[in-house]
Amino acid sequence: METTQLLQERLKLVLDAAALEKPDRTPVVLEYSAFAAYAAGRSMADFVSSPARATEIMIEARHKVGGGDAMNYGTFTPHSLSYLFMSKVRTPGHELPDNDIWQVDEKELMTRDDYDLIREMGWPGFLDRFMAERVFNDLPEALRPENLPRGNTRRAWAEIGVPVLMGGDVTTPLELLSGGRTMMGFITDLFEIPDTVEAAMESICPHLAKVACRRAKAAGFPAVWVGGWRAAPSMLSPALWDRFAWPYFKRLVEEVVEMGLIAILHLDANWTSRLDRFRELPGGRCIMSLDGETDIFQAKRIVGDHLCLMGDVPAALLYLGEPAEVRDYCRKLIREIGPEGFILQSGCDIPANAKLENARAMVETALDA
Amino acid sequence: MSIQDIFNAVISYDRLGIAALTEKEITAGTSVQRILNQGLIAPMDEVGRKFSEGVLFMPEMMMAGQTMKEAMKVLKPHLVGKVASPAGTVVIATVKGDLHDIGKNLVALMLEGGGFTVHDLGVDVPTEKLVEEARRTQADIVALSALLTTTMPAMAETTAALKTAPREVRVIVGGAPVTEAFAQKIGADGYAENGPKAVELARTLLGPR
Repeated sequence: METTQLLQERLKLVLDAAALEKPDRTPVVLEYSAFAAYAAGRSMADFVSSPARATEIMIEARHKVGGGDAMNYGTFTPHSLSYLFMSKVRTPGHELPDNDIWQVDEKELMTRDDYDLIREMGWPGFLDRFMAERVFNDLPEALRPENLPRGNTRRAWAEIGVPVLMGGDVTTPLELLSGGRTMMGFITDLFEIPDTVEAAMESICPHLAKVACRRAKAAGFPAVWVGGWRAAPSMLSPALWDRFAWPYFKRLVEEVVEMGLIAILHLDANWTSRLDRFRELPGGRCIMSLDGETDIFQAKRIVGDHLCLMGDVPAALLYLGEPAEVRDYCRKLIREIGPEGFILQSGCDIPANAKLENARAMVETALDA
Repeated sequence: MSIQDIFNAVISYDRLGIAALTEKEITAGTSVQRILNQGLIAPMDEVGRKFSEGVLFMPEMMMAGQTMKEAMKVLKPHLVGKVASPAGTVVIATVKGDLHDIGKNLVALMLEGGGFTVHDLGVDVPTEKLVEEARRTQADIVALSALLTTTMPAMAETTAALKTAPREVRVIVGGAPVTEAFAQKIGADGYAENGPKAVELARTLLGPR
């Protein structure tokens, strides 16, 4: 089959599922970064050396896994985590040994004075200065994000007939500020200066989705990722969640959908207690991507007729389990969460040290179903 | 001024005001043991209970813990030689190769709030350092945290080293990818999924003191 036709057929599987229609079979989407290096037999330092190199290695890894209808994201750089967590990231081959996984190094890079500074400067100006002066300040010139070869992610995957869904990523002001202030610092701010925090959030939010969406559309990607982890309702009291988390998450999703894109709701941690609120989001235009902490079976009951569900083969199962256990769980998901509105995927990334045979088992189960 | 004011300060997260309240209570002659037990450990136990019931969440536990810590800064110099044995001594760390510490910090706060003496070694801590610190502090328990599947092997290695060290020490483990089954597999003495459960587990393992 021609790769163009293959690309279109695979994309249709995913888009049909996202629109809550019954696809010809359950699509399986791959989401991984560090796993690519292990699967392809490359060093972690090689993997993070540039986005272009990461794409090459991710493609090598897909061949090892044996298939998959689409990639959640098609490239990777630790610098993207710096933007999501407002933090430095320790990387293999630099601060870490060559085969260690990169890690966000959360320190109090933002101070309480910065809340007012964000409003005075505007978020784009503040962010540019913050990243240059406090995050990337000690990076050698050659390693700065703008100087690393990016390649053409979408084209590289299209050449093997694999669509890439995500053309950009956004997260809420809560995630950004809790990274920059550190979790403890941010929490004390929520309790001691809540109005100041809220004012800063209102100032930040309008600037978050538009650029990512424009870039995604221009490059031909169908979706933008809207991520939440510390904003999970298991982490926050209802009062804090209702004021500082949900309104901003909802706003970002609505902006993405208004731009004609699918919103992939990347929900780490446990969102079970507030699943009902997701019915406020545009129906048939979002993919709720769960990591194994949220009860996907409850999600099916509460929002399964409103949003597509994606997931949630747990990282621990992919690492510690055996292929038969993986297959059993995947069949259960296909049976009970599908057939309409379901995409099989790992819960968040396939972990770096997942058994290759387990990743294969996940893919094979969808292809054989 | 009374111990109830200190108790209330913890419950209301008065992080900035509790130090003064504690100073005044000490100056007034109240025993440091009473201040510790009734003014700090008691409200932390209540916070832990409410967390387990789903009434309070992680931010409230962190605020209570931070508020308690401010009081402890004032209380600590007066505690040496004047209180009964603590609930136990715990060494806590995130294992080698792992930088995550939010959960570990919260567990440390709750253990301290529960009356344990806590030695927090931070993150990315190698096995040898943990074994040595357990020996140096005569720890009753070593608490290990890992947030990555790739650092769970380090947790297994450290547990094995601690369980074969000359001096007996209990090992408890936790962290997002860690499970009860994994804890049993690696020979740990227990698994706790959050701060209050870690306190409960530590008290169960060590018994009344």
